[in-house]
Amino acid sequence: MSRTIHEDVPCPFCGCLCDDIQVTVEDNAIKEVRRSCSISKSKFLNYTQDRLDMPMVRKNGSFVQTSLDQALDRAADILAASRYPLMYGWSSTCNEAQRVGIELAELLGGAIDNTTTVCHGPSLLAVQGLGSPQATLGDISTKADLVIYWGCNPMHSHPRHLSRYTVFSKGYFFKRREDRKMVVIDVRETPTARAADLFIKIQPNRDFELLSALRMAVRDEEMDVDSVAGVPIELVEELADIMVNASYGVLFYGLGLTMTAAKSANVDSAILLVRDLNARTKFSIIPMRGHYNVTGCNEVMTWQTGYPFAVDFSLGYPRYNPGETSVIDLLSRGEGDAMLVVAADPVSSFPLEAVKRIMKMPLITIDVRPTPTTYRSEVVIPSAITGIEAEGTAYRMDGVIFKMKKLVDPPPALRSDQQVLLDLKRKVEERIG
Amino acid sequence: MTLRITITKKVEAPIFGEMISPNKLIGMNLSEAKKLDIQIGNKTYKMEQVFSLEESGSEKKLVLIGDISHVRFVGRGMTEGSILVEGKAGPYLGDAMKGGEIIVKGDADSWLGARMLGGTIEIHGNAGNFVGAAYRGSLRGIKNGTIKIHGSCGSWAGLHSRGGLIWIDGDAGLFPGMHMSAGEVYIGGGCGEMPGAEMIGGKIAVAGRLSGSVLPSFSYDKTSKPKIGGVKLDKQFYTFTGDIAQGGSGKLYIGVEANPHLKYLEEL
Amino acid sequence: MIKNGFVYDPANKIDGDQMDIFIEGSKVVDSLHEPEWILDAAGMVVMPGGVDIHAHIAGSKVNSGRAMRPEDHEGHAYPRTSFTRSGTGRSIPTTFITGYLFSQMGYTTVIEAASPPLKSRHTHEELDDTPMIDKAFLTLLGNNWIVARLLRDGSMEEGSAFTAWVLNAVKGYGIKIVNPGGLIAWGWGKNVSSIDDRVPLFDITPREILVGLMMINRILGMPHTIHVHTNNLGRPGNYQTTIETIKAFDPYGSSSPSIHITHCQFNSYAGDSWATIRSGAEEVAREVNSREWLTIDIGQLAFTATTTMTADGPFQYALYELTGAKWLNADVESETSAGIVPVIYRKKNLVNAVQWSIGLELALLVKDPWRVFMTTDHPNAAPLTYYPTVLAWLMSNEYREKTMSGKFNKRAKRRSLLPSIDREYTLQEAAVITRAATARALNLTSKGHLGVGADADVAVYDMNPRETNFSKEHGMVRKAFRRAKYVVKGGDIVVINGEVVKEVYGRTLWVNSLTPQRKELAEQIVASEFEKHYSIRPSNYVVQEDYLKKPMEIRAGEF
Repeated sequence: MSRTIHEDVPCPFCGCLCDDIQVTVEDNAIKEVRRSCSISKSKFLNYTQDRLDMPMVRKNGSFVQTSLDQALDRAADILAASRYPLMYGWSSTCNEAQRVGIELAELLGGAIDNTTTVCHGPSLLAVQGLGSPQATLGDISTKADLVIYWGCNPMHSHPRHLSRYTVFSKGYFFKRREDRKMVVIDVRETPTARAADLFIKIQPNRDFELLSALRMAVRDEEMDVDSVAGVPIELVEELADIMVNASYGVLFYGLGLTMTAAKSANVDSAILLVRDLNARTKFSIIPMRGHYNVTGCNEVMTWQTGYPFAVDFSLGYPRYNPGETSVIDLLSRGEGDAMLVVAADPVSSFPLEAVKRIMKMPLITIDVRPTPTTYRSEVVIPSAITGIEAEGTAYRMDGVIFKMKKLVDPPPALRSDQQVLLDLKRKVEERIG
Repeated sequence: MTLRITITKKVEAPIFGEMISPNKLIGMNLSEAKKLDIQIGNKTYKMEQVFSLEESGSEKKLVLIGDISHVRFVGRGMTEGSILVEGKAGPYLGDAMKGGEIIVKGDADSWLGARMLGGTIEIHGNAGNFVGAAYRGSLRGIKNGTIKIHGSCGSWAGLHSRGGLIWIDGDAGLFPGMHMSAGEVYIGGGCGEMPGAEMIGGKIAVAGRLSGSVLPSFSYDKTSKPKIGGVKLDKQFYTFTGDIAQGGSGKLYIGVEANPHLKYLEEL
Repeated sequence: MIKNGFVYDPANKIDGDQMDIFIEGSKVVDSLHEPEWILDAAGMVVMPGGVDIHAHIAGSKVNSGRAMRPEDHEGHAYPRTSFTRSGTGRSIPTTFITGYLFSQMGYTTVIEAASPPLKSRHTHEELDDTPMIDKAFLTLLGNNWIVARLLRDGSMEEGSAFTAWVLNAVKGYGIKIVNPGGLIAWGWGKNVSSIDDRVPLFDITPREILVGLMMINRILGMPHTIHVHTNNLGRPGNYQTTIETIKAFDPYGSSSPSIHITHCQFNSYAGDSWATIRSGAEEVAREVNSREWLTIDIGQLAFTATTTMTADGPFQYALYELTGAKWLNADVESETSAGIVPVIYRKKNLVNAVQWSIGLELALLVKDPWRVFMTTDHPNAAPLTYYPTVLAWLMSNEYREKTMSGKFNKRAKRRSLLPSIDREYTLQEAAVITRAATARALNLTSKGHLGVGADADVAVYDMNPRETNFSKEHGMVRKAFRRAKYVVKGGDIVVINGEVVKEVYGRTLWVNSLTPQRKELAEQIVASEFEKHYSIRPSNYVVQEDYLKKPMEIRAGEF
């Protein structure tokens, strides 16, 4: 029996990318996981469950198992023949795979987009308009005496965020919880809100108003209202005071800002607020990115194309304009005649109109588990899980980079996302000459 | 020469229609025009494979017939002549146009008249998001020219407007006039949240119902009848100055009649 | 074989001799029986490939710049070809395009100016996607908390061991110092304003950091000196800080370089406000002229729109406050910061016109071209595509005068000596400041020259030195340097008539100074200090050599 204890394992699940996990492997199987949150532990221990084990292609409406080579041939046929292929997903795979994806999209003259489009796209749009004051998470742990969570619930979505990086972390200057102040702003009292020193309940879809009011208060401007977004004006002014008097503050925000009514305008205003605060004290703003490598995908796309998501290559060079080039926009306009999905499930997560459009085109999916998207595909290619069965690079929510580890060998028929995509690219090149 | 351009090809991909502009096509030999390259998705076609072109009449006019909702950049940068779209137009119609006239009988898509520098656009139906807006990351929205929409439009109409006039008879979505520094926006119907958010100059008037409240960073002056598009409006409007969070002195007007929930302002 | 060209190889004292260059494999050789290919360079200039000692081309900060400027990419797109990738960008081109642009200008080696250790894996990923050039990066250490503590506690042995460990961990080429001490203060929104200010938290001064790191640099035997962006960058009156910084090294000077001051233009301002700004280039040049152990690069401005990006967080914040433009800040725990602000430099603007004058003045007043290098601090003072313009300015007084006419701010002409300087750089000197001297300063012994054994990195420019009046034909000079006639990289012909004809990938050079004893000592320091300061495990901080696509290790002390 062979037994290895892997230390310092980076976790391939959420944007926290905790890298202190200890994983014990016996006879090529994960037996024990330490220091992780319960979501991570469950994912590590259950990684073999419910897997796609063989490539499949559709024949006369049903799935037939086939070799990887034949599945890739079929996929390459579909892509090479298409006039406008869409490539979507990417956030749950490594940079190395994403790079091949971009090359493939460029080669095919199609469009490539990632999950940012349904998640923190608005944040990136706001940064494009304004810039933003940011910091790495270690800075927060070291220096932040004020931590604000707005429109997010890390206790559920990023379980170790508070203990590794913010109010429960043992920082250089602030060793105890009571040394720091935590403020939560949300539409309902979440578990995170219950841990806060100050919880501000805001009316749904009115974040922009509260942000404007806070900006006014930080600038010592008068407002002639009693309340804003359901928050009494005195409380608004109190929060502004807390922010201005912090020695180092940070604002973390999530889908509560990016996916409610005002979307990118919310983030716009949040960035402007933090920018205004920097005239009086030190303040940073960090988006709570969900997938463990969505940040990496934005980075790779940016350095290769100039744009973080929603890129169209029809003219042979990158074009970018969310509202026109994002995969949801394209699908809503009835554009796209083939789709490659890598490590994502758009059939579950996209708006109905877009899903209807996806159903009309041949779909190729590369993933680790069956999903509604795989069930609707023409070609399904299973792959090894990055960070467990394959190496790869990933970026944490603050841009710090990790090399994900290979802890066990994948099942014999499976290759890494990068290898599958390289083979697919080669076959497409053969066909389009 | 008037050119009638009828789309004959059914597509499910973007069509790049920059050449469809009076500057480019009028005065060009018809057989030359038919042989122009046009990109659809990743393939290049000749114009005649996608459209049927025929000459009719002597005005400097292009008439577009059929569903051209996939065709982007029609009228881009045009300086003269006119375009008539009989059906539904695609994105970026009249992008950066400098002069001339565009009329759409049906609906228009997003980025209508983006970065406009002159000329006129009239839409009989509805328009999408970002009417007269700037591109991503840029501060340069409409600077000159007039966009008139008889129906409604989406969100961010007049984003980063620096001049010109946007007149919407119907409703607007969220954030009309956001980041305006100059220019005028009129909305005859209602609009969504936060008109004029972060504006520093210019005027925006909403005659109909404002869903939600006015931003706390706007200060109320009085009621008045503002002048928009050179015309004094006949109704009373609550008048605000802002966006003070940006140190702005733009003017926001909200119609009195349609907004009884703002009546409390009269007591201030 | 490159036949019959006029060769400018200053390192080997060849000054326009008509001769052949022989290449076998990836090296320059003495002679060849039968060349596989022949490039006819008759009537043309042949130089070693350009060696750019300071440009911001890869890494977290550069990419954040790209991310926040989609409007700077729009309209500047480069379509793919069957052997080149597509991309975008005017002031911050995407990685593939960056490589092609450098190559078109005849550059074959580029040093990324500043990489934060914690994010160096990102720098490597981008460098690996930058074709056509050999590359390396300088590692930011001047505000590193652990280094600062070790310097303060006076342990040179520990300081050197830990520095070697970091450089080895991130696979960096040399030590970069930006606003020493100032970025530690910036962690709380503050700055330092003189080299003797006490830095918060560590009770150390910028002077102590500078001298300490210079000594560590010597102890480790690094090929390049410390590379310094001085305190007070961008502030009127800062020439005095620059001179104080220089003087801080007087007790330690030797005949070989001890310190390199980068983009010196930004640090040579006299006057006491933007309204009274004057050039301090004369004073700075005087100090440079009298010290053999000092090198500088100019950071020359061009009148264009571009993007400023430096590790100097407080300076970038001040620039945002001044201009109201977009502003991105990115602090890196326990190490450094970064700031990005778009900017437009205008001829009619007094300050910009003076800034423009200063860079050229520095190059023209410093007598020894082996100690003043041509850069634009890409993209800070100008995008890389302006390199040929800068050379044309240096080589042509007429071109300088033309630029100083028309809309050029008239008051600016009285604020610098430039109008009265008529020195013109010779072609030989141009070769020195763009390749021979920079390679020497980096101790890249097989680069920047065309002697036997050199890397076969060669640029051929379509100008006839015997028939060209460089002073009058400055337009032709710009054109020739912008699109090389031929470029050979590592023995491959990669550019013909200014177009990339073959895509190649160069090597990433890094310096290993981690001896076994230093390693042992460093690991003890890491064990006790690292966890307090970082949110990442030390084993994940280390970048393994096989992570890089084409690494090339250089042993410190052996070059």
